[in-house]
Amino acid sequence: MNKLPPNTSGVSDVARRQFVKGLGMTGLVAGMAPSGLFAAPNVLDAPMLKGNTFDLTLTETPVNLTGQPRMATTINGSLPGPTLRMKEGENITIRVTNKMSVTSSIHWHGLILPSNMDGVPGLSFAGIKPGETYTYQFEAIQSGTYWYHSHSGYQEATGLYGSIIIDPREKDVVQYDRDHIILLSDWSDESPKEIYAKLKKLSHYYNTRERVLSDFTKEAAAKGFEKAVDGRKMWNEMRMSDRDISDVTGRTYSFLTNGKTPASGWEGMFKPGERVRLRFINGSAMTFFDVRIPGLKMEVVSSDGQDLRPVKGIDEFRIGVAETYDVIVEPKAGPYTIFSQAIDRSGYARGTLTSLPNQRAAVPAMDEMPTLTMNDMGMDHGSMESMEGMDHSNMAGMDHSNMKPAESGVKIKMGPQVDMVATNPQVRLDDPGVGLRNNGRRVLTYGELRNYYPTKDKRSPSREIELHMTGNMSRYMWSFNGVKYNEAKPIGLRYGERVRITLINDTMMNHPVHLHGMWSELESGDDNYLPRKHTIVVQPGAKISYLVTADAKGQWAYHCHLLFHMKGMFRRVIVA
Amino acid sequence: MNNKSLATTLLSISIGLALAPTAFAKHKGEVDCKKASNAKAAACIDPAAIAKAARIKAAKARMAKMAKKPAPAMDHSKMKGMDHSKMQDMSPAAKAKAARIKAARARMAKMSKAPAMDHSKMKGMDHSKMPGMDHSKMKGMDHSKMPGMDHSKMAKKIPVSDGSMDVNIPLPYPGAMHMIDDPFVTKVMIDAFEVAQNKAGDNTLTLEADAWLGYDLHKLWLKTDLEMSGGKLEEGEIQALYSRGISPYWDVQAGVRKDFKPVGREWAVVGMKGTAPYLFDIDTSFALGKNGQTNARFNAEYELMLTQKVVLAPELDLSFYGKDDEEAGAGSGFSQASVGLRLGYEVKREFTPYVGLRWSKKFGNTADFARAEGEDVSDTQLVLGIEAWF
Repeated sequence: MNKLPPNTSGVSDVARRQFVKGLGMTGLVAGMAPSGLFAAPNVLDAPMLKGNTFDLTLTETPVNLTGQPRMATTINGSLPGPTLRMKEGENITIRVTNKMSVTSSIHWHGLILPSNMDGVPGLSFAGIKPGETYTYQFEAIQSGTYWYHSHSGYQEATGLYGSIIIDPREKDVVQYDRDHIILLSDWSDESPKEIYAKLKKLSHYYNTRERVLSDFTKEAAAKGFEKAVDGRKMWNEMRMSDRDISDVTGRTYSFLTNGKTPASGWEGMFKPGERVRLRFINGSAMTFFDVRIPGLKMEVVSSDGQDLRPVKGIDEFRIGVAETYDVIVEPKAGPYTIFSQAIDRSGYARGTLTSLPNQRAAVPAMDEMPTLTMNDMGMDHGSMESMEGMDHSNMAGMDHSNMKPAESGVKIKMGPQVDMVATNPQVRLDDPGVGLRNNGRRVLTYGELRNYYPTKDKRSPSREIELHMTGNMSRYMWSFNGVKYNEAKPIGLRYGERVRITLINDTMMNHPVHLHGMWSELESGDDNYLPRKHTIVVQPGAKISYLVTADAKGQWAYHCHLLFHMKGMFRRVIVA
Repeated sequence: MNNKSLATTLLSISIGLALAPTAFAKHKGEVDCKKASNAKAAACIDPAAIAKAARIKAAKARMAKMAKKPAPAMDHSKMKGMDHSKMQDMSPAAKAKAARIKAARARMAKMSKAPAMDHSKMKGMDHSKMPGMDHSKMKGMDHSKMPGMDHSKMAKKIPVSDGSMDVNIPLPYPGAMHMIDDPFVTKVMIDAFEVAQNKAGDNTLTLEADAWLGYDLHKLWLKTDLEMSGGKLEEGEIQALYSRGISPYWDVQAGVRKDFKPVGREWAVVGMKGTAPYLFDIDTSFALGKNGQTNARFNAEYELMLTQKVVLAPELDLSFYGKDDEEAGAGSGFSQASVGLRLGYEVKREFTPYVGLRWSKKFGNTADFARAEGEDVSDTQLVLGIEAWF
């Protein structure tokens, strides 16, 4: 591997100028702090706090990630916040003091704990008012990689997030010599409120690669004029774009690895011969990442904090917002680029894993921007192109009964808030997803996730809850079954019951759906080893199901974890 | 209102408003898409196809059964990529099972080749290309992944609902949850701020600007149109409309319009604004004036992206009046058409300078009134302008 200066990459200069922001140093800068209080710390890494008692202070802090000074919300003055490392079985106390001017909250994402400790204002507590301290107390009853973030307003997008590692009480089933947190996130110099308003005014505002005339002429040259016209026809009739991959893109976002822009670059060390455990967390507001480390095969050992039957030989995996994946790599001496390209290829996050300090590996060129197929729209009844690289999971496409409107009896409230309903949603566990099919790399799929331990609750579900993820992209409105949170009744679960939740994605983008308080046991193939997840990605035009044992009384949040979808695509879940 | 003008008015209403409701129809189509595609399918499936479907169903049921009763000795989690034909150390039960699977596979493969259906009529349901059914690609029957086939659900029917509770339990901490999905937003749009020179050699300055304020489905729209020539305001109007989202891509707009140049006129207005299939932006309205005068308008725009920055935008404007209004220069019937073509460069999303050509022509009595005033009936202008919003 060559030793290259940090900015030498395979990406064209134009692309870098356009998308890879972050010319300034990462971390906190002086300048804006009136007292010069933050003059010194140019925080390189989120500090790691260990033990069972933690003190976190939330402040508004000036930062400069891109060359533009901005105000961020930070925890103990760092962005991301400190990593909290605790031990399974211990009683944990976390005192969170809000020194910001607005009410805040911290939610421990993926931790199973009492609902009053879950940190959701309105459901768990009243929030943490300015000047107040809230003391969270709970037992760490699980181990693994998790994260935490504010559940108030858009604070999560401006820096209120950090990592959690819970070491197992017994010997870890994953053998490793060293571990690193790889916390991926997105940062914008625009305020989240501005971004949301822009999306309401022009929903494709951030789309940097809209269809242009030459796309059509190229298609016409390749496939013939008629086929090219046919290809455009349905999209145009639907008034939709097959380039609609992400709502918010590299047009405004800088993509961060452990708080570092691609230009500044995070660096993690290892010794040759070590088994290195990388704990990937997607703490983004809106961005899905496709992660790979050129030159290294990955062994996926856990997802959402839960141990998996190891999946070896993986080149690449997609990580949805709020998901976590732990992988093992065994690098030989040298530098390796941890390359996390945004799902729409509008930019990437970059980190380096290296055996010698300051070495850098080449940064690969980004893949082409993916284009949605009719399959992704859940409207495909079989077109060769979209099916390649997929196997049995598509057999659901055989199930003609899917086309019946109300087989399940669940109604979608139609109206201006819903622009599309998938006519033929398929279970696509073996589909790596748009932009990852047939890319020549070995890409992880949901169909490969198997719990390390046998399924605890072997009961079959007694009933099924079906939710369609619905929206109107051009009006930028989001809902479940056509009903947004403010107009919806809560979902009720009987304490102790086992239910199946089936999600059907009637939109054009991937949605990561997070159920608080209880595990979502993904029906990934083997009922005896259902992987337990806290966040489940539903691909566009797809359906997916998981089982939930309602073993936690109280009121819980259930929502799409894309920050600008969440307020509509949200339900209150009451377990009683 | 004489017969001619009544007819024109009706015509103009139908042209103006009929274009928008195609969107309704489309939307309705979307609402019932499942139903529709189903009905369509039902209508065109021939007996052979029904028989085929039955065979598929039976095969599916058999496979579901198989999946339901896994051979206890086999660890399916490890079976990935296993070729059953090569399974040496199998229990008799497992062997039998493998044979059944093989048979089922063969049956299904056969089915997938049956050319019984008239696919040509089944738009959007092209079974001929159904690779989901192409079992020739079923490498190694990967059991671990068979739930993709959803056997669990086929095997046992359980009640399905949206999970909603009948009783509404209050929030534990009311007032602490701020789920503002629909904030108050304002948008100001300068659609055209352009200069041109008319035939008389006077510089004309045109401003077409709109603004909306409000929520996702309820907005107040303000629209204004001003034209100055030789430093004098020649034409000017302003509209205030309530805009209600009624379908995914359409708003109904209703309110008032005030013309203050060339003469003062007041109107009640109702219209439709939205995006038609193929992404045409449509704004159409019908106005009723004080003395029974009527005015129908139709505007369509399209944006063709030549590159990510260069936009070619054709535009069409049509206007109809129900009665003569000589003072206002409006003659009954089809009164005016204007066609524009702009080439813009999107400096940023919010700011696009452009050059353009605008051709306009007056017709019928409107043309006569213009001639009487010594004005031109038709005009072609080179325009220079900006489009901006914030």
